[in-house]
Amino acid sequence: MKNILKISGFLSLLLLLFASCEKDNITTTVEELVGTEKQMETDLKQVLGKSPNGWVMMVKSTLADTACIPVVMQFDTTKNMVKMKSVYGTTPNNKSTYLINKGVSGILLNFSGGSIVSSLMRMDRSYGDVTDYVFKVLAVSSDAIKIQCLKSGEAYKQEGGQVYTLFKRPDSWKWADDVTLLDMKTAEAKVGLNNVNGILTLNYIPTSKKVNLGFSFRNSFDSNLAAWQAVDPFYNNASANVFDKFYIFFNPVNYSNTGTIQTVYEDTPVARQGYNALCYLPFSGNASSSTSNAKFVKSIKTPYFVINEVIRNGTNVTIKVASYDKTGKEYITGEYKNFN
Amino acid sequence: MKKLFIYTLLILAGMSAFVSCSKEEKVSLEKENLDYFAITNKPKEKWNALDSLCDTLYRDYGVKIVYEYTPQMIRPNDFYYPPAYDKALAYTRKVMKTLWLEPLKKNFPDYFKKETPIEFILMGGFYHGHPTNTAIAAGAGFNGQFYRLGMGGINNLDLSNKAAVHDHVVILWHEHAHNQDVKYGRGEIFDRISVGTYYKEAWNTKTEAQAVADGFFRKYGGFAPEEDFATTVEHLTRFPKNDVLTLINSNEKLKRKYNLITKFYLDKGMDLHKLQSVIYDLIYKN
Repeated sequence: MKNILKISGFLSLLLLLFASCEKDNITTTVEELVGTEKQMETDLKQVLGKSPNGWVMMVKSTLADTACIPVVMQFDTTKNMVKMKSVYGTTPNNKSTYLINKGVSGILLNFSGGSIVSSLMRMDRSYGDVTDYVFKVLAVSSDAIKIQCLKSGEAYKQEGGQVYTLFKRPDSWKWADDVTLLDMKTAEAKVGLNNVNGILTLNYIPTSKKVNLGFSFRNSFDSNLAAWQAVDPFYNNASANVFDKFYIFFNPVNYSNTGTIQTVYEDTPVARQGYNALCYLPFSGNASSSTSNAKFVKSIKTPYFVINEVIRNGTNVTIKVASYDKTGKEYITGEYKNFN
Repeated sequence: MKKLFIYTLLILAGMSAFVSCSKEEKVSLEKENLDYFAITNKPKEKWNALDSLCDTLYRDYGVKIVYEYTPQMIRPNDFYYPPAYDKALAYTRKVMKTLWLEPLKKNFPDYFKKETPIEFILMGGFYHGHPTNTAIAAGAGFNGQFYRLGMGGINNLDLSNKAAVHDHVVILWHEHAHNQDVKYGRGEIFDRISVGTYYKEAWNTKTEAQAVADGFFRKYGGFAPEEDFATTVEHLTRFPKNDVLTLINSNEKLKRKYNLITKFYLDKGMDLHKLQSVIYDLIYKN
């Protein structure tokens, strides 16, 4: 009897063993994943080079709700180099390397050399929401590349930061062409603008609202520029120093302008010269920039203007500006004039 | 008999367990699938000018210069930022090739062969302890792993400023001294010279003159024995032989440190006074 018990015990053990192993028929999807990754890697390599004018990444500042800051990237896929342009500053010889890697989380787009992207990572979030210069590639199609910051920023926080949908640079973005339209550093650009009274008219596309601002240019920092450049947050932090040393000037503003040019101004925000752009992000080290810029950015609802056209007719100067939303659509269009 | 039967059953059960489980072998991963560190060796057709230069330097000097990477390539909780491409290219040409490797191999062939790190990391800025905060990083370079050296601040180094370049190269040798310290150990005798008199965190409250009187070549050398060692090497690399000899004759501790370190380096084929004049001439007389 005991034997029967023992034997049946072992038999049931055997059965269990077989039965438990049968469960091992796990259908693994690894091979399929590898296939998907390979496809995505191939697609990414091709698609990056298929926008001669570049791809655009819209970075969000904590200072604006709708307006986002464009970073235009032109990829040279034969040499794995990328050129970037943005409103934060000028970068004439700017180029950096990028790599397409396969990491534990899939395909990674790594802006492996020092670039605007790695630079923004070291700025505060008013400069943008970039928290890594390595991105997980989420989706690739012929007209959009969806990427996500690999890390969300803070140590010990979850992986995965902001998601960006890169789109092809629209042809209408003349500011991002290779031609310099306005660089206030130069004497030519100052003609008709510096210390001249003007008016800036802004149109908010979603609401059709129109705003007039008294607006001028003043090169007040020129005499002591080198000292001011020491407080440039990008130059100041070697890890982020990928732009030229900044060039700043005042843009005196009158919020209660009635539609014609006036000679009085209420406040003096500080503009930094971007790539065919005026950038109003505050920086510590200049009180006017900290308070007046914060007020200005809040009031106009954008931290920057790109300059798409400068028309000079005798002494009359017209500057066409714009600011874009997350998808690259015009959120604000505007026109500065130094004549009524 | 009974036991034999039971054992046979047991063995059979065991065998069947192994056999039945070993059938699953269809999962296949391609070997090159995972790259945890996201470093790839670029195919030659992708090389830019800097890649070609780095390759030449690698062939001539055996040092792999790393200028592109991910934020955490070095250590998972430390963050380093790559230099801008143009700056890295100019830096590699001028500092890596002309001011470091070329004169090292030419003037100190034995020392070059045995004591040159195999990796050199270029950093745009300095070391950050936090991935994204705005604090400006610290630390001139890094060391501590004797096969690897690195220098920071390349984005802000003005290569046309001779004094800045000279200081940078001298600091490179300071960082390399840490490598040597880690590799061989500066020794107990060195540590005994100033034992008990280190300033620790208070080093920055001292004057340079006070530090010299206390037996340190620089006040930062008073921080701790390892910096004492590295700043001594740095001093000998920075200042001409006569100035160093005058200084050490004013202080017994400095003299003992000088004697120990010159011997430490000479034994390995490096005459620090000669190194000083080679570097100085390359920067100021060209």
